[in-house]
Amino acid sequence: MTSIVETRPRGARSVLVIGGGVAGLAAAWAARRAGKAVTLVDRGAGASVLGGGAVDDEPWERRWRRTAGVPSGESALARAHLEPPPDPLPADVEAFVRDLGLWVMPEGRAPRLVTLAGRVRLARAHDAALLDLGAIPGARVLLPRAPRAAWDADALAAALNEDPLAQALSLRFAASDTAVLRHDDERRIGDADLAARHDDPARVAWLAERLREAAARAGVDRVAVLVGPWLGAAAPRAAEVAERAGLPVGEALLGVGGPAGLRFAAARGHMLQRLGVEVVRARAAAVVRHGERMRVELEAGSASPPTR
Amino acid sequence: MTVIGTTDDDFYGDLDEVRATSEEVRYLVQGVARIFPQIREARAIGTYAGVRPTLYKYGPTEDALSRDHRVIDHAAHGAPGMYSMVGGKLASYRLFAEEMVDVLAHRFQLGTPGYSHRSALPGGDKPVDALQLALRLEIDAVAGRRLVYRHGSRALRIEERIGRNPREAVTVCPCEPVLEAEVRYVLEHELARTVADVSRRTRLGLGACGGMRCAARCGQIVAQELGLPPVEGARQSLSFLLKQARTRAVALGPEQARQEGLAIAAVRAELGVGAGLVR
Repeated sequence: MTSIVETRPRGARSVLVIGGGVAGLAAAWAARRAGKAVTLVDRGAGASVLGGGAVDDEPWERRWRRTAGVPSGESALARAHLEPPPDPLPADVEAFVRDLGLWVMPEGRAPRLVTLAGRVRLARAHDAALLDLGAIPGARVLLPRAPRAAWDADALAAALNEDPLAQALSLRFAASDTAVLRHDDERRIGDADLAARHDDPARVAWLAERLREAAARAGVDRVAVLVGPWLGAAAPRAAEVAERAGLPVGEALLGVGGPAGLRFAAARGHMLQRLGVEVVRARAAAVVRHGERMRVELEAGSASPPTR
Repeated sequence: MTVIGTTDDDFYGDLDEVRATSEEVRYLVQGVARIFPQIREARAIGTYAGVRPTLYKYGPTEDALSRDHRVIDHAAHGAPGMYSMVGGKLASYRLFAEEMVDVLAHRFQLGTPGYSHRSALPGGDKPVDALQLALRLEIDAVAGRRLVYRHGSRALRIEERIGRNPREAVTVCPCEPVLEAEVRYVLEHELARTVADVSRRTRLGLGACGGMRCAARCGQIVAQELGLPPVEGARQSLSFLLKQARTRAVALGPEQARQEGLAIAAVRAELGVGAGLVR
């Protein structure tokens, strides 16, 4: 084992953070705001980088039971309004979310996200590429058909049309014959690879044009488009597509291992750079006290040179 | 993937709750580790268990009981026309069934001796070149070989499905792998009625990820093919995943626990646990 990271514990001017997930990132952010020098030890994939893009402050099922799960004689619409507004978050948490610039947190209500399994789930905030049904009440939502394994527009539309949380918003879902795949290999490549192709502005423009045509063909007023988790790997591209297409566009959520995790990793990288945090790419093996100082021992062979 | 086993023990419990126990897993791992110590680092991805009826005998241990089978005519017990088929094992099921049919043919004086031992099993009538099939369907060679291994010549019927609807060549379960066309085929022709049925027929969801990437999609297909409400498909997926998690629990080591955490997160993110799917 090699030890290359040391810090003093109390009254210290430098802070060491182990782990670069959401919690570690927030700790580094807070320490920098308090004027400390920060070193972050992180070795790639953890839960945050595998996340699907929904941000929860409690299990979403509990929130669900307070709304759709209410066993009352109320209509679906009335039930949807039974949902109490989410508790306000501490100011520093809100500031952190703003600063990260990746998540959308609607005022006074919980976002309603579509999962690839065909459910509408609640959350507290969401990756900006995900479609929030709560923001588009009364819309006709088109789901482009695409021959991809996890994407069955017809099955998904059928499931969503029967979901109480979607019904409460008077949404209608319909599969649509709209070309969203541009190259033959896109039938097979992974979601993250397809998402990365939408980091190209030319591709975003092409997709927006297809969706604009589809909306025009639908011949109704309020149209939105729901696609798979394909809208950007380096950053959420939904807003760019939506602006060019002139209608709301967003992704359905893949539980684990989708592009939302990659987008978090990218946003984290930008934030750490902005903050001027030293990042050590290695796995921490042990934290040992050496008199006044704390020493983190790194797993042998796991370190790469520090970056700033 | 390696299957290790078996153990052999008396079972007196609920036949719907037959599961491998952690003692059995430990016993097997200890035994295998004497020759293959690497087994201790292997990731366990599931266990399964079943109950077999044996011919009763007082005294011998479970292991020493005969695997023979017998047709019992209950006429001697005052129930003429009632028969029991006792004992046997999967390897001899066809022979056993033929013996039973012979008893019935004799009873009804049909006079035709059993002939099923001369006819091919379904799909066993002619060989199919798995590699050529894979090339024609533009699927992975492993997926092609699996199709032929499981369906024999009936793999060609699945190919026909894909010819009619090319979309069905996509892979639903990437671990095994299982194609969408195969899932739809077993729902249409092999009496599968649930996600668990599809899994038993195709091995969908029994690979390394424990169904985390395919169960929900399979539930959608089951609902579509059988004309069920979509939420019923989601409910079946969740109940399949929960049941599989219980069979894995007895084999979990520290490495598996991390994968298990990931699987639970995936299921909760997409389906939810306790949000209207499982009462």
